[in-house]
Parts: sequence; C-alpha cells; structure tokens
Amino acid sequence: MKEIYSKIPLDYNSKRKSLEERKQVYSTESQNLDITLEDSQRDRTKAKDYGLTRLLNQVPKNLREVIYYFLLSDVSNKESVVEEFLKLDIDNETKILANIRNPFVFEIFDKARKVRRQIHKWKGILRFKEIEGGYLYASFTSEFDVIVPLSKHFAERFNTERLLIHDLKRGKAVYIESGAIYNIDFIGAIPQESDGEKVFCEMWKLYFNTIGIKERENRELQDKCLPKKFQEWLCEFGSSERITKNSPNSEQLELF
Amino acid sequence: MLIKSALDSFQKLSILTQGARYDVSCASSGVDRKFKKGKIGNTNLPGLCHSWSSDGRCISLLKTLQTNMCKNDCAYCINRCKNDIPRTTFTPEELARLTYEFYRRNYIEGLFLSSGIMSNSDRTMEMMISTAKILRERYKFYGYIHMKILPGASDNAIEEAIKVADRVSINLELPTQKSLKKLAPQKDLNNMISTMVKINSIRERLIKDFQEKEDLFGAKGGQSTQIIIGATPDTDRQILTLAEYLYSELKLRRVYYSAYVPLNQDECLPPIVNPPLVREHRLYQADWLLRYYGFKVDELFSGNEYNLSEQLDPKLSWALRNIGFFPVEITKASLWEMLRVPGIGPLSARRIIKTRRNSYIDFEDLKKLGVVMKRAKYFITIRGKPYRGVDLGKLKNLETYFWDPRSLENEGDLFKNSLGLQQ
Repeated sequence: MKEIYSKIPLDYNSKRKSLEERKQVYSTESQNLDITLEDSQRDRTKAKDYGLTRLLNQVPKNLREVIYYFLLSDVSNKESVVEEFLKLDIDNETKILANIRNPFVFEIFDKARKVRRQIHKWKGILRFKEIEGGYLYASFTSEFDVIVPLSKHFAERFNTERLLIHDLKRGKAVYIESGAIYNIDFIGAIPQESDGEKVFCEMWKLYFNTIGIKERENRELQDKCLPKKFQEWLCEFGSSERITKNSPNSEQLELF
Repeated sequence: MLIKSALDSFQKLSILTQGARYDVSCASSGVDRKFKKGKIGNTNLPGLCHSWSSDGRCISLLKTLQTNMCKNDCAYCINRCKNDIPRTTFTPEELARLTYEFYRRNYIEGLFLSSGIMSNSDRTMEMMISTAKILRERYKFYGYIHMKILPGASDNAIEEAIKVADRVSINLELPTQKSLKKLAPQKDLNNMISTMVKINSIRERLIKDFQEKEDLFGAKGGQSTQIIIGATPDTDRQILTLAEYLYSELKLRRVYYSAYVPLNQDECLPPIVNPPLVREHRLYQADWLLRYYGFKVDELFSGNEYNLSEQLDPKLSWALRNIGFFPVEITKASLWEMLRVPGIGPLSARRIIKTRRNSYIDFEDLKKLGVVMKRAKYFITIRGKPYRGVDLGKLKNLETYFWDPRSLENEGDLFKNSLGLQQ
C-alpha cells in the first residue's frame, strides 16, 4: 500500500486533507452538482462559474441532469448556451420537449442524450487491468468529459477494490478506494501488470472468440454495435496469444 | 470419456462455452440492485453490454456450462449424449474464481450458468448452486447471476437456485409436445410448464417470507425461456401464441427465439444449411409488438396465414392490411393509436404526447423526437395535412394490392423502395 502511494502520490497526501476531500467526494456521490460542475469546469473563470452554479441550483434535479450531461460534452460555447437556456421559461424536463423547436433547447437535449449514451457505453467497455500492488487500472479517451460519472459508477460497483481511472485525452485521473473518489496526478510510471493479469486477459480473449457462432457471423452488425473507435480499447479485438501448457507462462495456470 | 484431469482451464472454458453459446439469452437487465459496502458488484436496470461477438450479439454475461456431459439425447443439441465430443466439467471453485476475475476487470456483468444433465438433474443442479454460493459467499459477489433450472429438478433444488440467482430459466426449446417427442424425447412440455408455475410460486413465497437476516436474490429478474426456430415444422403463429400465453399467464419476462443452427446429422432434423435468421428477426419484432405495443397474436396474421412475412416487418404488414385505420392525426391520437404507426415507437409516442400538450408540433419536430419519418410519413397527418409529397389517397387505393405481402415482393419494387424497405 505505502509503496504504491509513493509511486502514485495523490493530490492530497496528508490524512487530514484526504478526509476533507472525502467529504467533497460524498457530496459528489449524492450528485450535488456544485462539486461535479466545478470539477468539469476547471478552466472557467470563478465568477462566471459561481453565477452558473447559482442559477443551476434553482432548477429541478431531472433538468439539472440534462444540463450536467450537456456540460460534459465537447460543445465549445456550452456555458453561453446554458445561460441562454436558463433564461427561458423551462422548469422541468417535459418543457424541454415542448421547446424542442428552439435550437438552444434541441442542442442541449440532443447532446445530453449523446453524452448519456456514451457514459453507458463506457460503463460496459472500460477495462481494468490488475497492476502490481493489486490495484485495478483503466485508461480511456472520449470526446466527452465522462470521467466523473464513470468514477461514480465504478466506485459503487467495485467498492471492495482500489481503482485508478485515467482519461488519457485530458490527462485527468482518479483514485478510488472504499467508494471515495480522489483526483490524482500520475508522477511516475504506472506500475506493471500483475502476474495473473495475462492469464485472465487471455482467457477472456478465448471466451470472446469461442462465444461467436460462425454460422451466424455478422461483422457488420458487430461494427455497428461497437464502432471501431471503441474496439481499439478492448484487448479481445487485438491479436490473441494463446497460453498453453508448454508456453513460458504456463506456471501461471497454477492460479487455478 | 472423463478426461477432466488432462484439461487445463483454457480447454475447459473453450469446450464449455462451445456447449453454451447456442443459448441466445444474455440479458443482464431487469434487476436494479444498488451496491452494498463490502460486496463486489451491483446490477443495472437497463442492463449493460460489455462486448459484441463476431455474430453481432451482445456479450453481457459469462455464458458457460457447468458440465457438457449429458444423459439426454436431444437431436438439435451439440451436447447430446450420442455426440463424440470432448466432455468436461468446471469445478464450482474454478468457475466461481473465473467469474470473479472476469467481473472485477469489467469484462462481464455476471454469470449465465447452464449445464448438461450429468447423472441426474438434482446432482447437477447441486454443483451449479454450489458455484453460485461460492460466488455469493466467498467472493461477496453482488452482480448478476442467471441460472438454468434443469428439467426434472426437485422443489428443493429450485428453491436453492432462486435464493442465489437474479433470473432463472427453463428452456422449452420446442413449442409443441409433438415436436419435443420427435427431437427431445426426454423433455415434456407439460412438465416444463408446470415447473414454470412452480418457480413462480416458490419465488413469491420466498420474497414474502423474507427476513432481513441474509441476502435473498430471489430471482427478482423473473423467468425467461428459449424456443428454437426452424428445427420443426411449427408455425410462427403457434410459437407466438405460446409466447403470448407465457407472457400473460406465467408472467415470463422474456421469450428468446433461437434460429436453428444445424450441428448434428440426424434424419429427424430438417436439411437446412443456414440458420433462419430473418425469420428469427421477424419473431423478435412480433414479440416486441406483443409486449410493448399492445398487439395481440391474432392481429399479426391475416385470416389464413400461419407465418410472418419475411419481406415486411409485422407492424408494417399490419398497417398495410389495415390501411383504413390510417392516417393517424398526430395532434389528437391516443397513445394506443400512435403505437400502431410504423416508425413510431413507445418512446417517441410518449414524447409526442408530452410535446403536443405544451406546444405547437409539426413534421420537422417528429424526427427530433425520434420518429422514423421514412416510414411514418405514409401513415400520419398533422392538423389534417399529410407530409409533403405524400398522397394518402393513393395508399388507400392500394389496400387490396398490399393485402398479401408476397405480392409486394414480386410487383411492388416501387413501393418497397419508397417505403424504405430495401433489405
């Protein structure tokens, strides 16, 4: 444990600070928008940020979710779109549909939908590798800034594990332990894969290559469901190195 | 036959996955279980897909067999006792470990555990239950488990399975007693149906008597089943009538249709080369119409038809047979009426209703709300006006022409293209 901390120092290395951070994290978990918004809007001027946050606090939760997803998107002038949007007489989700003719409203509705879909996709295809020290490490890139909602999902699902999630495009990373999420920076190299990792990855590839029925082969459908840009993140779409009893890694089969 | 000791885990996984892959069910949906501190996993109500295999099917669960040894001799099945194939068995520890390791790497949503029947159903079920228990207890696994109930399992085994599983299923495989007798002589339709009834009552009792002492998974995702398509002369109408019964009377969550893949040589099997994938697809479309659109089986077939059209989807077929029902006026139509329009689904129909309540609505908005206009435009009006360039009167006169969908295939290329039906 200690060893890894020195390898991957957290932003908050004193215990007291990390407790403070924990508080913030819990409010992230309860979907308090202040925190997540600040997190996703790091680059903005503070005054503007607080103004938007205050405005957003006045809209109901289901609508805030739509705006939240929109703010994670790659639209360049999203803050001004949201400000324009908040001037309209829209106070619930149903009214978004009623105002679908308004380009501001449609853009928000449409982008939020795309971001939500992409978050859902990454929840399924983000892959963790076990690295030295028993941590699970996952990296990804996405045109949308989805690391916060993803972290929340995995912090709950894998609350017994210690996780690292790394957005390579934005250089953002989080460390998750016991359901708490911390922002971190990687200083040194990411530790190597653990001994068992290769075995399970190869077993997964074997499973993947066996489950398809050749009489039903339909690569077109496969590519439609999982576009190529996602496939490159999945080990099962790469080449397969079969471990057999005689291969150099055969002692790893002793895992069973 | 037993070569267990000579096989490594890789070989076992390969053999037992080959034995399980013809089971089409892979859903991880229908159970919304929040995480619990100290347990690994939760479940996601809409389900999550983790990959897509070479046949385009979603991979959500680790779908495998406990064993591919089987005493039954079902003609269509790769694991039938007559087949000379390598046989092996996962030990419960081995399979539980594998599931756990796959799960924590986010490869899968959980385990789909089926099995051949080794010596008797209960002994095999015992192993399967033991796998699930190791996962639940030793690995603190809180994710999704789908368990097969083997035909002939005792009440006690069924109850134990329900306690640890999120969904259970018993596969009918063939829709009539006659077909079963021919291809799967050890299976009995009535027995399987009564097992389904039994599963329902055990589930209800367990959930009612539940005390907060320990975890009860209770098969809250309900039951599903599978029917093989095209191995027997059974018609779509027979299959869908059975499905309708299973949904309405036995409260099944899903009926899966699996196009028959010719695996074995047997004189009682049809001499086909390719699995009937289009037929399977049409059955799924019809199944959705039954579950989400308020259709009844009898509406899906014209008087003397027994099979769905392969050229047209069942909803469009219905619309063309009932062209007098259209056009549907979008500003006034009820949800039920809108769901009859090709190109409008449950989600877009509900969105239209929300939108029109508060706002002016026009054709250009429908696309934004998710309507497939290339289909819907022939069947709707807004404030009495049809979509630009569409002559509804013409469609009305074509009623008799469209009546038999097969005529469309021969003569109706023009309309086929204009309806966007190129396959």
